[in-house]
Amino acid sequence: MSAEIPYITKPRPDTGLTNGKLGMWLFLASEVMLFGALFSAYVLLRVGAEEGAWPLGSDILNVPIGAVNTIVLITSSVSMVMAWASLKMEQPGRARVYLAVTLALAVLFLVVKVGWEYRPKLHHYTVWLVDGTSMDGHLDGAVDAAADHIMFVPDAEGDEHPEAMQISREQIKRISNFGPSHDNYLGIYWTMTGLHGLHVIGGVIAIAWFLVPGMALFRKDPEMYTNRIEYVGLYWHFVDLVWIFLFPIIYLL
Amino acid sequence: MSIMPDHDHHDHGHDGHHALGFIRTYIFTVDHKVIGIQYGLTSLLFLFFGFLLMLAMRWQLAYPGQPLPILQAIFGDQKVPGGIMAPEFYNQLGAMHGTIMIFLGVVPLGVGAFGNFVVPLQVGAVDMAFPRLNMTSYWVYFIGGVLMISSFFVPEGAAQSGWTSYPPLTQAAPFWGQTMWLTSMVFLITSSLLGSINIIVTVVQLRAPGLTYFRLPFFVWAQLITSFLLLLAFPPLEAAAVLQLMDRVAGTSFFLPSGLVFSGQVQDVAGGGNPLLWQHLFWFLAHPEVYVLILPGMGIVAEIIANNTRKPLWGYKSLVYSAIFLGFMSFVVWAHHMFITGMGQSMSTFFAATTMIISIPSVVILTALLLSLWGGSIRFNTPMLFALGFLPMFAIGGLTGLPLGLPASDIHLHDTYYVIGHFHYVVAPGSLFALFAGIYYWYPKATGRQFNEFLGKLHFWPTLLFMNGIFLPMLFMGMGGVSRRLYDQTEYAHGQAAQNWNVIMSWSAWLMGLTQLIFILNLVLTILAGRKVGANPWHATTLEWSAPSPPPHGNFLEPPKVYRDPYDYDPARKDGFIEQTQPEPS
Amino acid sequence: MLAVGYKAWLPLNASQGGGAIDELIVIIHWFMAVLFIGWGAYFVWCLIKFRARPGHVATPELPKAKASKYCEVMVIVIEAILLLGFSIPIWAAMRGEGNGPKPDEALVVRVVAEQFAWNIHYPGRDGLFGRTDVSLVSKENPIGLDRSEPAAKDDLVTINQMHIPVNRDILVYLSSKDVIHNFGLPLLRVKQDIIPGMTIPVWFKATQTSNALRDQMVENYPLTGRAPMLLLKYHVAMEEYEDTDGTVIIAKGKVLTEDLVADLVAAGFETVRAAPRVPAEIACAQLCGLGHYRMRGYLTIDSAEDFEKWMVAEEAWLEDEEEDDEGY
Repeated sequence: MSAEIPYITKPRPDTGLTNGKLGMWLFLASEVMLFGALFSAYVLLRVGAEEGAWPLGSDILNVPIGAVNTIVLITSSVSMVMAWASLKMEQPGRARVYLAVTLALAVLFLVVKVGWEYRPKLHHYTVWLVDGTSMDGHLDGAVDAAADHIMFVPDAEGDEHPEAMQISREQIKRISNFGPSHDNYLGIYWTMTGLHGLHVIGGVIAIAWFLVPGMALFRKDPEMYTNRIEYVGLYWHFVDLVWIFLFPIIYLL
Repeated sequence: MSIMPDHDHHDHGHDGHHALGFIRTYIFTVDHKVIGIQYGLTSLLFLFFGFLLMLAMRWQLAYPGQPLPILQAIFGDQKVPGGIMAPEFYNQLGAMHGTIMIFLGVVPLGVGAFGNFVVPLQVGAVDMAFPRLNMTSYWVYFIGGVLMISSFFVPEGAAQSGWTSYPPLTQAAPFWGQTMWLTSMVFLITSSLLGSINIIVTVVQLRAPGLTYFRLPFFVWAQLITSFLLLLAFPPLEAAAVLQLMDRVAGTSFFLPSGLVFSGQVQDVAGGGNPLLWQHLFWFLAHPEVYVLILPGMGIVAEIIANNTRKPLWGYKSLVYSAIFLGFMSFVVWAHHMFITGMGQSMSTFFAATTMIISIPSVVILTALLLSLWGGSIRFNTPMLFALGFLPMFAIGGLTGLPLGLPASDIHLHDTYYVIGHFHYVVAPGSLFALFAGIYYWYPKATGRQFNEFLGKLHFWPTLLFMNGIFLPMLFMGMGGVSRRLYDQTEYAHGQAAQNWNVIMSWSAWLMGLTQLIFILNLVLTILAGRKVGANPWHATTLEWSAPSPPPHGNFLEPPKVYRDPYDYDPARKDGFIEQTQPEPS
Repeated sequence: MLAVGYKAWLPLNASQGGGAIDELIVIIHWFMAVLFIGWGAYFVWCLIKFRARPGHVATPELPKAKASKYCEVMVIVIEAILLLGFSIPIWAAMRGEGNGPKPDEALVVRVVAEQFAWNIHYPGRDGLFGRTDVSLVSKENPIGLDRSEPAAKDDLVTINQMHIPVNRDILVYLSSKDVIHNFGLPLLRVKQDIIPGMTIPVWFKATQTSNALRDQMVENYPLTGRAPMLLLKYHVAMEEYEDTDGTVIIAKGKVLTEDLVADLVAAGFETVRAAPRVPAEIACAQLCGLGHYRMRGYLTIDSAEDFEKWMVAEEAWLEDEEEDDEGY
């Protein structure tokens, strides 16, 4: 029955579009509004923050890792285009290689993000004391809810391995890891990179589908398959583009 | 209702449809007509449920502190102790009434049901551009709706911070209800996005040969613009919902400033957030949302007026341009909901100006519809009665927006019953009348049977009366300063003054509820025993009336070609009209 | 029956700025009425003149409708006048930054809203507000006032009782401890959201005292019927009512209760002349939780002498408290 719907493979003459392409562009328009709203939230939160309350990105985040991930994503966009171009040039073998490369780079992005960025933050803590000072460091062992103190290993410069120190609960105004609850800067970092990460996962699933089960479609209707790779490519470029905005704004500014 | 007519000799080799079975034909279907009916039935059920919630609230409002045992029997001792509803339960009913009516009721009915059923037919297509996406969007809506309703059964009940869900109140409110509200909204928004993409692509790509943009029925234009509003305005609310969810489950404080004290406890959050951020993101959607609520209705009313005046619509082009302008402007008026938040002069002047400007296309559309009556030969069947009723009711709704849209007069009227009266006039005897009209108008097409005219009129007149009985007093109460969302208005002297209005309003509501049973009866009886009709019982011009009633799989017996404008009514012709598919020269 | 002091239209206006708002509202509604009646008359006329009937056919030509074009232009012009000529000047006067009274000319008050009460904080004779801190907030000290500070020594803090002198500029700084509330004074046409994290100023001047307002709000209330106390809650009798043998059932100015109403009924009265005890209420106008409906504060507008008496009484009470060393 879907075969009777026109302009799935061949574009409609007066619009020059296939249905899928128009659909993908509309979807991306809504995604612009989604991420745009989050960027606006970032601006409002930052402008409204008290003097000195908003940290410098490079003080909290690892810029080189972020830069590496940026290059990874940009490269994956290139390989995505190459995959589509190979299909247009009727070289499905090369297309499969390029798709696999794109997939691998996307997975690498996620691994770097979760392993080198997210995980460490969840183990790193800040303790704010009632006298107004604060300390960054790690918790020594599990926190005993019944005890009236915590064991804390403060961060140190260089090779020093400082001893765990005891901080009584009465002195603690607040304690948080570098997860989203730390402050609004980290909150927006986790939210935006997290949502972006979910979109990367979505792309991974789509590309994996086209690489493996989707090949049946290529055999049945190579033109439709090629068109769909184009649409996934559009989506993938958008995901890359969001990161290209996210990285400088969150990491560098 | 039969999707497969028994007289089907012209089955154009539609692949083994008979073999699809009940589940694929009626449950997990990809046929836009069945999906449209699924949306229709589901949304009508939700509408009725949301209405029942309000009927319960109206007991408390009319007779505060008086027990109603049946409420206790239904909702339990915690929510209705001793037969008197608890104030937090009243707030739950209020928040859920608004949410359900808007997001589970009117929009799915106006866009999901009417958009899905009528648009492919009116553009001459065999189905929507993405049938499987269509099915997905219905089921995502269904899940979102079930999630929303089931929030009544979680510990401490459903969301209770208004349909507007302002933080920090949402943060102080119980955990589960509001969290489920946000989660459910994510599903509903996703469903809307998928549906709007489908409608836009269908209208742009699947128009029949000869159907240029300015030959589209105004109904299709209305749905097209509505879909753009949904596509572009909903994502910021989705972003906001994500942020509020983060505040609730991840300990962030996007909307929470420092130093908050809830029930004596200083909140253990980082602080530094801004409640106004939520309001901006929320209203950025919620204002276009109100045009989503009204545009499909305007489209329906336009179709029915053209058909039942037996003459073309007045100012088709101005209708289209006004609707487009309305769509654009709807994105730049949102902060008129926020005049009283501490806004300075420049911001309030900007938004007041845009709000005044946006009233112009509304005035043009209303005027065009009124002028369309001139020189007609007006048939007063049930769809036309509802469409005509829409006009003065929408006028009251629109006009009462004026004092709200000017910041100075809004000082007195903000958050009073005047606001409730204003928006209900637009949505209840406004949009809902238009949707009733549409159900009556297209029921013969969808079911192949004609409804009972007498029962239709019996539905219309009391409903019109009771709608005014409910909402007109609200304008006066608001003028008197009675705030909205009050569990017991008699705690204020100015509220006490309005107490007798409350009794009138409640009885109007309850009687209006009874009247709707006539509507349900009519719909059911029609399916069981209604008179069978042919393709074009209304003698209308647009493409859907060229397809059989009900249309088969694939809709048209032959692919339609369009030769004329959408409303070529002319008394010189047989039966007073020429169908769009008719090539005969004018 | 329908209207009690507050008619089914605009309430009494007890403020200097309120008149302009009322005027704008009335003008807009005349405009709305003209449009609605105009459209409506045309509408009804069409329905009658162009109804389908034997021998009547539609005329497919579209009317020129010059009149409607002129009307539309007029609508735009009138809306522009309303915005530019009325709303903007009023808004500037009531909200414009820097357009409020100077703090040394006005009586400055802080209002700290919480679920579900209004904390009214006066600076006292020194005109200085004492420091407040969230860490000092407790049940006895709802605004977290640091009483040890010299500026705070003469600060007055009340719960729900706001007194202001008539005919004097009042400058209120609004803040909230928890959620969004709204400081509403319907009789003074004041309405301002209170956003947590922000301190928002609002200013007004009352032109009538509470006593004067109460006198204008006297109505005859039924004593029988379904639930007479529903309308008589928080009302005072405005006349003295005596029993047949001369004993006073309720004196003028006394609050009506269930028992007193029963006594009046037993003595054969069917109505009572009453008025709200506190004519000007502080109404929370933004949903703030389950107690939103009862977040009612009392604004008493005193003459200059009465206000001074009230201040003196409050100061005396404060001194007693300090002597008790309760440290409030």
